[in-house]
Amino acid sequence: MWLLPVLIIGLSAALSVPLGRYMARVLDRDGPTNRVERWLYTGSQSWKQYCYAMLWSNALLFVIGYAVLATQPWHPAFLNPDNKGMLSPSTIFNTACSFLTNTNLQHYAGEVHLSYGSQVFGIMYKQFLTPAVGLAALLALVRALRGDAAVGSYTLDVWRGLVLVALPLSVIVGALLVAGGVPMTFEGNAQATTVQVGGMGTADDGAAKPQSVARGPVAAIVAIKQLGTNGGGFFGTNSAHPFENPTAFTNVVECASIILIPMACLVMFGRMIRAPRHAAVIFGVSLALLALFAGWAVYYDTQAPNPALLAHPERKVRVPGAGEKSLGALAALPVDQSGLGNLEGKELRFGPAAGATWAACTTVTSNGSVNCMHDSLNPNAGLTPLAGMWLNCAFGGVGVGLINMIVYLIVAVFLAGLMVGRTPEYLGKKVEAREMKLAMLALLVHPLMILGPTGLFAALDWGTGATNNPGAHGFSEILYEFTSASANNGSGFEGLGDTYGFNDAKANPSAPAANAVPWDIATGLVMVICRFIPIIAPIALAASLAGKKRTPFTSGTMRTDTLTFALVLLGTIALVGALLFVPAAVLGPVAEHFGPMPFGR
Amino acid sequence: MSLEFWVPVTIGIGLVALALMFAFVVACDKV
Repeated sequence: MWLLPVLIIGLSAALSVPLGRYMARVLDRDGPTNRVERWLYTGSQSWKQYCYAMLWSNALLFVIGYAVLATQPWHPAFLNPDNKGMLSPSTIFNTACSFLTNTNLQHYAGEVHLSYGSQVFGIMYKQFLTPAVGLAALLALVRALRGDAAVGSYTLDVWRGLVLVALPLSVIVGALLVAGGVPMTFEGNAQATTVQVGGMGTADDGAAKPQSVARGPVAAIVAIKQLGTNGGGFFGTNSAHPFENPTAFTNVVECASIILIPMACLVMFGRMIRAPRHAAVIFGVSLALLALFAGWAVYYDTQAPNPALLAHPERKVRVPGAGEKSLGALAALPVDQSGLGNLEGKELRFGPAAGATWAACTTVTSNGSVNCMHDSLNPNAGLTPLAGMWLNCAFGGVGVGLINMIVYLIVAVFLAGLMVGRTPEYLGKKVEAREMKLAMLALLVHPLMILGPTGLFAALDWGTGATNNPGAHGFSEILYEFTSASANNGSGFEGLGDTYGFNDAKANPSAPAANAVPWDIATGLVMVICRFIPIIAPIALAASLAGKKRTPFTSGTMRTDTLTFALVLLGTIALVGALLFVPAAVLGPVAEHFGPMPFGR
Repeated sequence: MSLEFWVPVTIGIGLVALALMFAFVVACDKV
């Protein structure tokens, strides 16, 4: 049970060291080194020029992404062999925002609603570009932190992240996935008939009734989906689908790929600022948080089956405010769950700990892919993905996760400085009022964009009319959706009616959700705001530090490369996270864990 | 959904959100 999480985290940590060194060497070179780079080089930019370049390029990507999805019915036949129609404008808006911001929240099912053209030219290229944008933002921030007068060339940084990191790693992981049985083809759906009469592919009278088996360029999309902390799957059920994640081998490869580059970013950071011990402290804090979340989820999801699915006779339960309710008799699942924990929503071929391990890895980073249904995790285990996204700094998304951690670090330095009565310093620069204001802007937009819309939707029919469960679990569904959007994660608690699908309602396999439009618009806006504000404010903060005189290191300087500082940082993250999110957690998963039904005693 | 209404509205919402991010850069410079 514990071997899988140890193997996955250990493998990623070991590989991250050489990868981080490689990234520092190739991404932090001075100036262009070949003809393409000379063409892309804009000269080293100020932090404002760098941010403007990032925003202009993202505005262009938004328009292109929207156009590709909106013209889906007119894609060439080989890119739309199954004649997919046009999506609803709100679904297109949400999808364009989602893949622009490295979130990959999906209010559609890929194999049902998207043509191959939309998958490749509307989505997959952004899965390469957006992690490169995150890496570029981190490079700019780190250069400013080490005192560079200019923060680099945005276009050159993105290009290098794309061709020197994202592409080669994707080719390697894609080849491993193809070897593991993941499809890679541009042919349309396979039409399969079964030998057995009356089976899914043959009618009762023996006539052929072929079932349509979805396939496509899956391996290429899955590789960058995992490596780039993207998370948007080819199939609606993501890596729980047997074509997207067929074997235990592909499960390990895909799960390790989630945390590989975020871990390597920390190694790169240490080499760029020439403070490997300081980077090791941050790495240790992130690793401790990841181990805590994975351990918590595995423990609470493998110790007991889902009590709602155990065989029980009809029984009466008392629900506060609703009197006595009757729970009907239930037959047990047709599998023996003893010693395996909660098997609901899990892929049995991976074993009991695989879903919980993946849930922890995919939510501490801003990946969002899944190999089990988070909605089906036991309530306490379901707290892990929420907490991982609330903190959003334990390795985090490619580039942006470390940026979030540096914001927490500035807050930790400030608090520690106040406690010992000295002006706080970070990397030899004084942290003063301006830096703290920028840090607070970056830190507080995340809870604001989670708790505000969650409260609004929970109070309106937009939320209560979309949830699939009553009470605390329904609240968790709303909370999870905005948490996932704000953390640019993209995973879903599911059970939420937020899919409109094709604009021609009759073309959808099920009727469009009544409240799909407000969900599409609200989460789309949250994704955009929470992508760029937590990038821009920390870069401005680092640039502000860059302009200050370096203070000499004395015996009174607070060291940031010691175990003591690691504990201060860990305490700061826990304290800030708890103050911001415990009340919401109590209303959701905690209330469900202690509540009267179905988990209470 | 009416395409004539919702296509320009959703594109507009996205571009306005991105325009606000430009304003945020300016605001950060003035903090």
